[in-house]
Amino acid sequence: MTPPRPVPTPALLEHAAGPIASIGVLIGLHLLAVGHDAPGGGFVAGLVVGASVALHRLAGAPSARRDAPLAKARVPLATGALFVAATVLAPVVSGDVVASTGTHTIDLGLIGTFKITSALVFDIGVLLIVVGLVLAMLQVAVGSDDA
Amino acid sequence: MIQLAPLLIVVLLAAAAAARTSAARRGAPALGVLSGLGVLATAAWSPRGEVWTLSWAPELGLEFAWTVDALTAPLLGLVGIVLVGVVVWTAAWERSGASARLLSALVTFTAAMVGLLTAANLLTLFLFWELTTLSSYALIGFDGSSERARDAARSSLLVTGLGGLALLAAAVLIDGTSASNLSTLVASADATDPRVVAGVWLLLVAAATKSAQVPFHGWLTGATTAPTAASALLHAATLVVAGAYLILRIAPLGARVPGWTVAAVATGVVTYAWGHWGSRHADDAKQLLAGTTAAQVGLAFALAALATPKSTVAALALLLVHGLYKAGLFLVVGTVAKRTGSQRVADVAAGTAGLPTLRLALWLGAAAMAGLPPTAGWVAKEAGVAALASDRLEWLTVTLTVAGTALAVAVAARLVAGRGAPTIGRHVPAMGTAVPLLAGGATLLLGPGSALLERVAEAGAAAGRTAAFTADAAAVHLVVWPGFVEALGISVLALALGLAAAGRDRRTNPSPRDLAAPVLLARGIDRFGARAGQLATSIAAQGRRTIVGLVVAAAVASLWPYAVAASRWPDDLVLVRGAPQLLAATVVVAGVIGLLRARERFIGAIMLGMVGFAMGGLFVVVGAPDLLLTQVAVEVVIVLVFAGVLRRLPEREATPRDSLTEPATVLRLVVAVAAGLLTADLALSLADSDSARPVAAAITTNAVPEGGGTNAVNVVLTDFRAIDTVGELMVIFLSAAGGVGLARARRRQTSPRRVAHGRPSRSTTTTVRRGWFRPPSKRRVEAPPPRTGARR
Repeated sequence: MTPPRPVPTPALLEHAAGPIASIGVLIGLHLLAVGHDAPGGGFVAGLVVGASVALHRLAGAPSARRDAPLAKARVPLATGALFVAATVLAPVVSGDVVASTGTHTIDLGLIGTFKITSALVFDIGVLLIVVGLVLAMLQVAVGSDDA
Repeated sequence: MIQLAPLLIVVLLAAAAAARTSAARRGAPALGVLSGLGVLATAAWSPRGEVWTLSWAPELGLEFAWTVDALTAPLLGLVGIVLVGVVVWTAAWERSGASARLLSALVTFTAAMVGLLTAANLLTLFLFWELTTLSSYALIGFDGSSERARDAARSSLLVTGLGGLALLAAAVLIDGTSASNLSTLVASADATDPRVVAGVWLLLVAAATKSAQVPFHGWLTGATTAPTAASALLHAATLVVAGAYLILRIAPLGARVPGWTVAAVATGVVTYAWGHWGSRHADDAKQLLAGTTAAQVGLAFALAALATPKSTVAALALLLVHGLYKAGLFLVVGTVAKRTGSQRVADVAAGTAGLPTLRLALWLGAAAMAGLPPTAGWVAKEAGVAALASDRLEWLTVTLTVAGTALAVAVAARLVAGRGAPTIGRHVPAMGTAVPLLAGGATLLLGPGSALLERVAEAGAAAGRTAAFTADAAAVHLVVWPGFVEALGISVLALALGLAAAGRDRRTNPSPRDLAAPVLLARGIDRFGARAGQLATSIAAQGRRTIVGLVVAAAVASLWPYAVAASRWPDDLVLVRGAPQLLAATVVVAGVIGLLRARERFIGAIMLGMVGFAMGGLFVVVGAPDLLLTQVAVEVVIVLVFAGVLRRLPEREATPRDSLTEPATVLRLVVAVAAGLLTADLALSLADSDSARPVAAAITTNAVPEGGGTNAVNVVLTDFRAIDTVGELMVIFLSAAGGVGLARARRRQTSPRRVAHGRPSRSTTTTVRRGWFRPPSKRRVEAPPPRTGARR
């Protein structure tokens, strides 16, 4: 493998990367939240969040790259696995069937109601694992330093 | 109430994880010892026969179940004792914390083994069976920098993995008869049902691979690349015991299947002779011990399969005794290897010089291995030979048993009478000799004290058997002096032959080649297991194109008959539905053509993106917003990854342009076209095949009441088919974890610290071999320049 050719990042992209990534993360979280009732869900949300973080790391300002959140693939991977395991095994502890769904709706006042299902927790796990996958691919592809 | 066994598995896994954390590295030995004591406690205090279940998919009757009975408990006890021993032994040699990784891997393996031994149904058995395969893979390939260790690990993974597949197939076949619970299965399965018959034969194959029985024994000799502590645990007391344990469990059922008992007994006694024969010419002391392990477990295997009260008691006693003394012998060799730097057979005896306790441990272990009185090795072997002899015995079985026993004597003699003169280097800590001596001493004391062994083995043998069997088993006696019986004659004959063979070996000092398995076929069988890993490596070395080609070709070949049989295109086939679809499809085709013609990687990436986004367009046309979202998101991620990769690669591919005169290109073309046709045919046929009972309506009506969501796709993913999603997540998780591992390995490789030690520049020109799917090429491989430590 040859060393990466130094490619100057266009200044516009460098400055836009941060805001775009932030918006991307928000869109991802929205997809996650509505996923159970509208197009979206943990997988897509994970891809969007992962792509945003990746963009931030690839094109953002050098200082921003260093402080990028979720920079290490290990963290989201492990956390996501815990979320998934918890939702799958929780019904067993309460004497129910593995991976069955429970629902709870909370009233957020002006914003409306928000429905919390065990499926959402499961989807959060999916999101985190997919984010981990994107970051891991990035580490292999780009050879970024933090694994 | 939560049973101890499943709880123990969780605790062991937690302990294994904790031992790796930086905080607990110094305490890793303590964690290891506590783990061993936990196993012992579970063996001692678990309520016998109580089953604890964990429901998985009750609609399908799938559940995990664990139980501890009188057969499991002594084997668990053995695992616990040996684990404590090897942990203490390992900790004695290493600086505090240095061995944390090894100890963690040992405890992980123990957790898998506990699960295997306590499994109460085939599904659970399969799960933990595979976990022992995986965790032993990690232990055998523990020294990842050694190519031999990597090959050996792959061999063991492939061979025992094959057995795992057989076990899975058996579980599926037998589950179809709704008798997956092991004790129900053994007691009441219909042995005329062809599914049960096939399943029981498959279980025999699984057991034979795990216990390294002929013809699957090749992996075990290679597996001695594991650290000695791991060998002592895996190859004496646990991993190879699993196969014989499975036979102990299912033998009554096997006895009802014609031919099964004969085949299983033959497998065992052939291995008994063959393994000792192989050990007779081994040069490496650990390989010698591994060969005798296969052999001794082979005798237990045969006895277990015979399934008479006498033979079952003897089989269990043999497994227990063998585990003890073999673990001790492995540790003796390990101590000698650490002391002298040599683990050649010839150097073992001299390596114990000046350490009377170590020499005593060696002699006790060797005496037990040779089956000399009054050790427990003698007691168990006598009982075994008596059980074989009292059954209607074929002359072949007797001959093989005599040969095996005689060879065992010769092998043990080689171990204690080596004439090498190694240099004694390292100081030996007290535990380096004490632990093996304890193991040897225990086998010596269990000889005269065989009443204890007898009680344990009788109770274990009776577990899950009929009342008559239990009564007969209780009448079996394990004693040092059985009187003048047939077995005694066999033993004396074998001892005389063995001493003669040992004397001859000592005079002629045969080289390994002189004594290598005499027949060509036999040599091939010896290599069958041992070379599996090298075969896999050589396939992997063929390169990406070959592997992808092989995988696609295999998929086409296996799906082709099904596709031909099921091919049924819809009658109302509409080629194009409107202009947007035609447009999107045209872009897809154009993208593919462009991809094939692209010389520059950058253009290829753009073409690939074109295909992806055009596919998104197709999803718009058919009204699938979820798919569209996913497709577009995936494409974006791919662009980002390409952006990273392309910066590191030359602009153009190094390989010359494919030409149709090159056979490899033609072959690839044929496979690719066949795969394309097959996929198109399947898509067309399957789209129309399940119209009889469409599942879509059921999903949409149930999505809100049962799944609590109006997005049916998401409800399917997170609720209806959540277990499938978990499976997919595992794949994603594992590939991501692999990626992380790769990135870390690369960072280690190019870390400035290593470069500072004067590694030569790693820029070399390698000729890439011509592959089945790849033309030959020369390519310049350059290592990235050493990092300076500063980030870009």
